[in-house]
Amino acid sequence: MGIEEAVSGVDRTARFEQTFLPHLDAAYNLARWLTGSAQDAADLAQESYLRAFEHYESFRGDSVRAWLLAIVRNTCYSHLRKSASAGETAEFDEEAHISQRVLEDPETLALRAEDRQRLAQALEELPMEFREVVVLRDLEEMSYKEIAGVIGAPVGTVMSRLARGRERLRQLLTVAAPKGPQP
Amino acid sequence: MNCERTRLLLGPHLDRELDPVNDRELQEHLRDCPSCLRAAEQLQQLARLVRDAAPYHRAPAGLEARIRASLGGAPQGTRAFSREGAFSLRVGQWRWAAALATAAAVLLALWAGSVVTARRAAQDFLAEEIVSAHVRSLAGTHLTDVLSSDQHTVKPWFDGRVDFAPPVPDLSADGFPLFGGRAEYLAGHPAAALVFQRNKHFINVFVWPLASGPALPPDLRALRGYNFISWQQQDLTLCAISDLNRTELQLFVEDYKRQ
Repeated sequence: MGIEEAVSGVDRTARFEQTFLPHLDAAYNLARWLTGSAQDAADLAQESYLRAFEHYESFRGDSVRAWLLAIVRNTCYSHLRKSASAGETAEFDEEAHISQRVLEDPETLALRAEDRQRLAQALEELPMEFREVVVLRDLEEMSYKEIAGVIGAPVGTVMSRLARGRERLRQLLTVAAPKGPQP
Repeated sequence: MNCERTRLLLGPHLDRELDPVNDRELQEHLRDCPSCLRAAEQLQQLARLVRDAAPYHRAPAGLEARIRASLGGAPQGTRAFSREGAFSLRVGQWRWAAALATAAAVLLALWAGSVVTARRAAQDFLAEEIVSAHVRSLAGTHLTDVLSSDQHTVKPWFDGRVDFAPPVPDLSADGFPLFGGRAEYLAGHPAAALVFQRNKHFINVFVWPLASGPALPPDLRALRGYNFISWQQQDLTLCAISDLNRTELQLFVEDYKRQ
């Protein structure tokens, strides 16, 4: 390896790190919400960074975070597909939730909302396609356009998934309450 | 606008993603329709709930180092050179030099400590004042003197109000649209305040001349729950403050500097 080559390699790495490492929390958070496992999330975030590094030159977009998170999402999906167990991919039983009592009073929701545990659990129970848009919008505070870039779908899809995701989340929260937090 | 359409557009309205025309019609409908208003309140509450109460999983300590190591970057800075013996040796010598330099810097810092402490107290006081100005601007009715998302309206507004020209970049493409500007006083000196938006968060950027205003070195800190970044640009001191998370505020400042 020549000196110039070595130096430009170091430059490239430094540039990549400077641009992408500020988004490590976002990458890990998404991976954690998609996989539900701290260990997997760390491994997949690392794998995603390596992939991003490989394809660094092809990055043309305007949002570094959206580009990185699209890679994280793909990495997580292919991991989950590989290790798909029955439990993880269980279909969401919409009827079971809708048929139950739905409380309309926002105050009730607010009171119960203090239970972070239950909220996290409800979010984990959301089907993946809804969970990811809710996480990207409400936790990552991305714009619809950025989210569309991450999930590779039109803005209209983001909008409708977000609406349905939030509605299901509300149902899960208002319905699950009388049972109390699960052990 | 009817109820059905209102319900459909509630999400985009609350997320500030709705175009102004539809948004105005929707707001008019909400004024007259208690049932839709209630739905809007519920939805807003839910979104706020997720934002405030759902866990944001931060990367565990050590993950960044792991990634850096696997990229062959900083902590293993010698890796790229290690295949050539001569280079490894030189890198080793560099490390010694760096260690000595660090030791010298520590001694110097200890010696200068007392001077620094006094200066720090003044800077902390200024930082507190900036936080208060930020909070005041959001709590009261005086967020802006000039309300415009157009840099060519806001920038000239400061002519004659302050004796310097604050940089007013157009960062709307980066997701930070301009909201307006106002005149401020910080530590008894005139300053320009520019207001930018990021989704539902406001960012105040305070600007004053390096020469005639209070001293504030480049810094990044959290104060009373707000993130705070100061930097210098041309002959001005700038300070961005917001409840935005640190990463996004850093991005904002990078974009600001670039323009």
